Amino acid sequence: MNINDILVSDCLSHILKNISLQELVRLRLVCSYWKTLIEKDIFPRKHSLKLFGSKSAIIDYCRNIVSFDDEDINYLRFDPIESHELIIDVKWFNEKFCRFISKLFPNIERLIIWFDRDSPFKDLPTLLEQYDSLKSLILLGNITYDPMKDFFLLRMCQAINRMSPTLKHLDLLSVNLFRTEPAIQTLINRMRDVIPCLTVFGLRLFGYQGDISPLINQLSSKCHKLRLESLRFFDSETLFNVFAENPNICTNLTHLRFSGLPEIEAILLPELDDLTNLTELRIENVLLDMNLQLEFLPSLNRIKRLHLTGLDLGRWSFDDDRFLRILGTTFPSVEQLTLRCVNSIDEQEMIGSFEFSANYLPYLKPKSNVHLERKISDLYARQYRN
Amino acid sequence: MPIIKLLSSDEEPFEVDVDIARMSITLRTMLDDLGIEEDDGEPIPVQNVNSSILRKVIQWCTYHKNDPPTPDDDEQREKRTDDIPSWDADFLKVDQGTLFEIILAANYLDIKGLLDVTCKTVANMIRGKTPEEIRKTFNIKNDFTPQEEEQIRRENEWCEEK
Repeated sequence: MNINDILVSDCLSHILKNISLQELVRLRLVCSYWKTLIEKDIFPRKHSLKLFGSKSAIIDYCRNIVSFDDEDINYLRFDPIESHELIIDVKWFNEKFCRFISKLFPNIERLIIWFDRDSPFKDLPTLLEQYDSLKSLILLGNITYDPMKDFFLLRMCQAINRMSPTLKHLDLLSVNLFRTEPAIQTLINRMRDVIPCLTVFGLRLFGYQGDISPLINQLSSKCHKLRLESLRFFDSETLFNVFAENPNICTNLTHLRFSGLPEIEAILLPELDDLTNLTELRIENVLLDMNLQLEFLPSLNRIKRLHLTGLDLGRWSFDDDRFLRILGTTFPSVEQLTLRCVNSIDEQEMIGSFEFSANYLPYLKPKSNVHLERKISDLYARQYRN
Repeated sequence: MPIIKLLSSDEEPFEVDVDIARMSITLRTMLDDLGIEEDDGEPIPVQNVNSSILRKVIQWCTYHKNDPPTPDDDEQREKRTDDIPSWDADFLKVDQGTLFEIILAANYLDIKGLLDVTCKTVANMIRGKTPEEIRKTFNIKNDFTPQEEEQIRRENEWCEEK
């Protein structure tokens, strides 16, 4: 009994739509009828494509991007390949592959790329050159290039410039894209036409070694999401100056993320409350010093989503009265709280702390808060996996 | 509860609650167009569905009559195939021919929930299999020339590695 003779193409299409993209590419080999159906009926309908370097990159993506992208991500899926995802080892990511992918998926509007291995990526611009009408481009992970040898950044800027009539959302969140001042200047100079037209522009400065304040000054009127990470010469005074000297940043920023910065006092600045549109704050890998004086902390009323990752509570524990008071008084309007990799927290503590914390953190009501409920599930799932 | 009569392609009549029949968009449109609210003596022909399949379809609809409406397809949403309810999984433990006929009936009668669950069942038979295994499972002839096959294999090299 040949399935192709029995089922009309609509039904077979309906079946194949349940198969992951990765498998569908391979299933073009079944027969010419399936190949045509997949290439002509299913792939052209895809408007979103995510390219990952590995399965672990997908899991990292789920853990990290959710706040930056507002995506409804299913944390608990066990088979991580979903309908818009392709996994490709970076060794295959060459010009030929880029052209092949754009031929298979000609109508992509939203492209997300996350490679977790530190690999040369000279052909990424080739892929972008194939899609000149993207609406959304998100680059994550580790995208390396040799600024002395290849024209990677220039080609990237040119490709992104060509998208300017349609591009609305650009997140340049890769670790290695902008470590040097010339790289940032290239971006600012070459993309002068594109950046002002964006409704969402995210930038990650990771390990940047220059003076950050003038840079922020140039970007501040355009940047909506800012990630400041592992900035070696960054201290609380520098951070204070960045916000004090750049009032424009206050009106645009909606998302702010710190990682690997010094003590928490450097981050919880009263100036943050001047960021009139800031609704999301992510703080990663910092020491929460319990000796800090509560009365000096600002009340950051506008923060709706708070993510604390890699929080080191020192000798204090998560369900400690003082820690919860800091959270409750500093972030009184939080609707979504994500706690990941907080030291000295286990499942039992987590459950107990919800009861205990109700007085200080009215938003910690897992039963009436779907976001929180999912985050707790996420925590359980990761513990289970580990 | 108002009842109507359906007539299968092999002319077997079935008495069905109107609400259950209306789970089929095709029948609902027909009933609305003809202004039929309950049995008026004339059975409604279901031309493309034989009695054994129509019986299965009615059984599925009867079990699921109180389900919330199935959301519209969104191409961009993640598709899951591991969420088939156990009753449906048992219900669909039938031979391949019957399963395909139920899919065709669900498609013709436009019963989205039944079409979704049957298609997911077949999708689960496809997932994880090599093209050769799929050809064997569904009796599909490989009609590529060796050159065409080699070309696709080369194109697929990057996604063969896990």
